[in-house]
Amino acid sequence: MRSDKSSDDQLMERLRHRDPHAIEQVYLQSFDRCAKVVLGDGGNKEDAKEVFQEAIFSLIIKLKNPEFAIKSNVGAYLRQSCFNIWVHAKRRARKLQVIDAGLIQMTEETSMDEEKSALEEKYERLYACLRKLTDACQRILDLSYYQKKKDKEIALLMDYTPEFVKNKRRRCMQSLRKYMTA
Amino acid sequence: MEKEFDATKIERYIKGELDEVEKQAFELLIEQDEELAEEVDFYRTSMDAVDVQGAILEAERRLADRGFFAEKKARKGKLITFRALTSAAAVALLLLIGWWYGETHYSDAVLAVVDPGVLAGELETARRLADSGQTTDIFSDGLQALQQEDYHEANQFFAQVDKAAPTYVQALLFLTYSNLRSKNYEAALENSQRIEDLSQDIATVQKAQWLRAKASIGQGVPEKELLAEIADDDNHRFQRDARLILRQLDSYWRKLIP
Repeated sequence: MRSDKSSDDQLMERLRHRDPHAIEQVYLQSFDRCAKVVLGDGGNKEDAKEVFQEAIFSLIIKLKNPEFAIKSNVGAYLRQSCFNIWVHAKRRARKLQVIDAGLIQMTEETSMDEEKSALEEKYERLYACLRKLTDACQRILDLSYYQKKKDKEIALLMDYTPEFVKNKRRRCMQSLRKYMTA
Repeated sequence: MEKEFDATKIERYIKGELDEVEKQAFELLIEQDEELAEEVDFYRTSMDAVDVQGAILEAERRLADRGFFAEKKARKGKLITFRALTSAAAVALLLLIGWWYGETHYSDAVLAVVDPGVLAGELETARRLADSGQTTDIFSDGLQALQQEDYHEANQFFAQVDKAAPTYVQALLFLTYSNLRSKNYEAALENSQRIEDLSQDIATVQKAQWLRAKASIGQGVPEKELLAEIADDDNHRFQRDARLILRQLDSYWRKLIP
């Protein structure tokens, strides 16, 4: 689906406010293109989903900077972003042993890396570390910080006591800190 | 030993849940304690990151509920099916074209067809004789049917002439031609053989051989030896045609015809 500049601007504004409907729209418009990059380079569907999640996360964080602008369009930006994330992921997994002609876009990736602010890098690390937490920790943090539920409500949902929820969340944050400083 | 901070207070401060007095007192502490400031910053960014991640996961959940990710699979399946169908259709079309080409250029029916020019000389002579009243009415009727390309009718008239005058080679030639055109190959084979036995005229014998070769193709058992014999004979008027027919009989396209 091709989007014009004004609808892209509106979409980015809604993304800036973390509107889940806007995120849905982005999935509908651009997930296929991202998946094509990953699936076409030895990845599977789960890889594609993770890469796309990270690309959207990174875009939303970039949108915190009011001066941030996309030169082309959201779809093309995310596709490039997916490519970069996928290449990084493969590198991390030491799967990328040969740099072939197909990785010419690495140049663009490098230039994008250079443009990353310290804040963006911090969020990226946080994003990676959050995923290392246990499912229970991720759920407690999601219920507390995204869904803004009270400890009493979380306790009911997770069959804990409110006091346990408070302590558990503190321990989860300590784990997160450990991952961040590791 | 690391300092223990009041996590609940940090969270409430970030969420804006502290009253003004508490807030000011806490901000004073932050200004004085670098580690506390760092902890508050860590909580702020972490809570914010969780908020962004939460929005993404919520969108994903909604999409999953609507079967978006399963739909990808189905769509891919449809795409594969579409591609497979397109390829199959293309192959089928090529085979169909090949079959059609073979059928219209190399089938027994096509190769057995005889050029009317084969009888050009005989027809002219026969017409002259008929016009001058020197032939029987039946022979004239046969000629007329032949000219009108009514080969079944022509068969009947010339068969009657042949019955009355079995050594009349010219009538036999017309009969054989009519046999071939009406796809009565067995009769064509027999009658062409009779012409070869009866006629002393080289040109007539060559025509009979050619008609026999064509009849054998029409019957589905091409007499390749006869065709080769014609093709090798530099004096045979059908040499070039025989060579062409031999090539066509061995053609790849012909193999496509069931």
